[in-house]
Amino acid sequence: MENRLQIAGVVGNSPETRYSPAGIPIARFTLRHQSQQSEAGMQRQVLCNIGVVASGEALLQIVQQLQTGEGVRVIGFLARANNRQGENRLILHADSIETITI
Amino acid sequence: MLDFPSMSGPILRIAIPSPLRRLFDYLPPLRAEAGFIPGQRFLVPFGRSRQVGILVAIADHSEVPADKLRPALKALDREPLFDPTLMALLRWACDYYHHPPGEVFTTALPVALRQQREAGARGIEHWRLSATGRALSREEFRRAPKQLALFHLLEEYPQGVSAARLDAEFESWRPVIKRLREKGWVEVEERPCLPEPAAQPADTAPPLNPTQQQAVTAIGEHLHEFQALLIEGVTGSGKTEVYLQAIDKVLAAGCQVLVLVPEIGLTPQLLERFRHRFSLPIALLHSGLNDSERLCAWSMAREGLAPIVIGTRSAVFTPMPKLGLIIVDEEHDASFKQQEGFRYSGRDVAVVRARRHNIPIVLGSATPSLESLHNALAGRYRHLALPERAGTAVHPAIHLLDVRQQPMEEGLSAPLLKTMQRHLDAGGQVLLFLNRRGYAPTLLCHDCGSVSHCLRCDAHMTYYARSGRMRCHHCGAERPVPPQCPDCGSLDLRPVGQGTERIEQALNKLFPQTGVVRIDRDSTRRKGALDALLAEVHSGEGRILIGTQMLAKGHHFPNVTLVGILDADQGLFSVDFRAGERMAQLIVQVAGRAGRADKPGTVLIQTHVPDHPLLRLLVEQDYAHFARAALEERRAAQMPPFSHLALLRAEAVDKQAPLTFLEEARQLAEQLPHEGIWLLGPVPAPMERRAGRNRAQLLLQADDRRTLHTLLNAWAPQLEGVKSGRKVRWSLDVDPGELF
Repeated sequence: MENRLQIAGVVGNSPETRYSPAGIPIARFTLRHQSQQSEAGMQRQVLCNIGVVASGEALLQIVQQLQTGEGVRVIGFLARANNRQGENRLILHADSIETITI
Repeated sequence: MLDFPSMSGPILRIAIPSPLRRLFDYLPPLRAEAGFIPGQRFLVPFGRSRQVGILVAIADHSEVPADKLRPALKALDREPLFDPTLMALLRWACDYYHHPPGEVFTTALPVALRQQREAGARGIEHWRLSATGRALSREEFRRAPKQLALFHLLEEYPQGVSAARLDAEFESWRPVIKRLREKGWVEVEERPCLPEPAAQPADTAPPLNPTQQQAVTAIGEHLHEFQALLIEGVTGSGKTEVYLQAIDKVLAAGCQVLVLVPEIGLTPQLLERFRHRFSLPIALLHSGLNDSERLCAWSMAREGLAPIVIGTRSAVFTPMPKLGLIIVDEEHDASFKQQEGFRYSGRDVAVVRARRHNIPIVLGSATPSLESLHNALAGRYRHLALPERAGTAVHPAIHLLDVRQQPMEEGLSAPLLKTMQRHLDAGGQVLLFLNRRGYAPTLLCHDCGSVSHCLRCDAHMTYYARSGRMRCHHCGAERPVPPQCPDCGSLDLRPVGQGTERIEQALNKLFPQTGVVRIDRDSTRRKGALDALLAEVHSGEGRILIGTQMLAKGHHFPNVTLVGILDADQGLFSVDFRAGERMAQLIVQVAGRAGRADKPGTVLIQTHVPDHPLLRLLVEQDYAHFARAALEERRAAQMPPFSHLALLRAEAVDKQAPLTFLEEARQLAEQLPHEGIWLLGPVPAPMERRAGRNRAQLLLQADDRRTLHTLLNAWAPQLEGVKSGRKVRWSLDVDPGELF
């Protein structure tokens, strides 16, 4: 099944990294997205936040350089992630991250 | 009638290692002189191989047809290895535990004698340079570089060097040293295998307090009569001193003493006290010896050359011609019961042995087993209590710490952390007890919730962070930490729960200035590691100790002022009827490490069930009150010691085979007189799958021991003939220690 998301925005908080028991780095940060989109033929503004998980050494190199407010483009897939309150949320698992100028 | 010429001679009935519950008949060796005595070893043909067996009885006829009888090949001993009393004890053990005699008698022999080695206290060879050798110049070796190298090595050991050391330091040294000996430059000497005792004892006996004095007097009252004494002495009450002074009396009467301990490696301090008190050879018998050392120590005991024998479980079968006293220290310890093969209880066999030798036996513990306590309360054992700590030490104050709804930092509650800081600030040491090895009991997938299971057992795999591996504590299986969840592929695996390794890591973070020492089976695996860790604690370098039940065993940490028991609840909710007893014993033994010198101790027990009646009794009263209440529970539930158990276990790869065999076994039992015996099962074992095998069990329970054994006598031999028994591995466990 298709599950592909490409989204750009700014880094909302500086990423936190932890390691899985097998030693794989797992970094998390929030991406803040703001853009103009067209809907029903009309322009509108879109504002949303989405959690990004970046796992593995390759992505860690990039993620560790990220500064709050820096522009990034993330490509990956969506998966469920329950937050502490038990609400169902979606989170973006990155397989590519690149910094962009905004 | 035909006369078989071979029937005229005696028939040797020999115990041979085999799973069959019987002796094997042989004719005497062809060119044998007369004079066969039970207890001698014989080399015999067995099937297509040769075996070493022990002559158990001499008969004048055999049920085996004469043409099937074979002669033994030769006698291996002139003298019997076991005296008649010990032979009788071993025969009793075969009958009582319903175990094949070959395996029972083999258990009683040092490994070297299970082969054809000669019995005897041979020394250990040591080599050194002779006077001429020492005077040699290097010139002599111009054309013999190997000899020169060995010569240099020997120069480093003027006192002589053992074969074991040479093996480690010089490749194929034997031919080289042989040439040096032929030239008269090297001499060899046999040293006694036991460490040379000091010329004078280093310690003298301290004065006893009145209760200690009473105990010593009671033990010495009737030295040549059977008497079982239970010493219930709180930790630090000076039980060991009672042993030492009682032993002194027995030695003075010219007798030998047998001391059984749970694990020698874990109790170096006990050993030191014996060495310092008695300037006599002490034979140690434990699994850490190599075959030669063990044979030598065993032979010294058998020849009466070692007045004191200290050993673990199997030392109970050591021949001692002048045995005058048996002491079983920490008699409650589960390791006295063998868990595989010949499943005997070293403690129980010791009591029978003392009775057969007509000598006193002392069972000592701060936390007596409910069995022994029951015997004492019923008047079968003499009950001696040592309620006071010896010297100036006072009892530690024990408190329950209700951790419900408390914020926990890696299993450590805030009040515990605060108390730890206070004790560390005051210069004390802190001991934390958690009976769980590894980093975390398992890994949990945060995305799908699946946990790491052992593929071969019904058990979790324990997570070891430092080595990055998963280990099964039940079958030993090991694999690397999975990079992702095997079920959903997520990377987000998380350790759940705490093991000692995780606590150690947390402590290093929380108390960065304080040395943390972890003592468990993993951190002490290498030889000498335990000693090094203990030294770190004694030097004061390590001020927080975190460890498992290894810490509970007789160690003496005079500076520990606070003991924290991190999880007291494990033992309260186990399927095994002995779990509560074991947990209480562990808590008391660990608590006893606090404040043993002149510093008062505190014990904090973290629990989620602060109202548990038995836990309260243990904390607010003491073990003695707990034990009596636990005994009442056992009486109400008709569990041992108020009933007697035998457990028939069966396991096989096939799931159905064990149950089929046990069902057939049950039917056999039902056809025998079984009034007064409950046949419970067959049922799957509490841990059904272990090491890839499915396990099931059939429990036999009776109020009367004799009733149970009457059935077992008839039943056990029948089990050997059960056809479905060939598809399973089965064992009969009399007085099982645990029902797993």
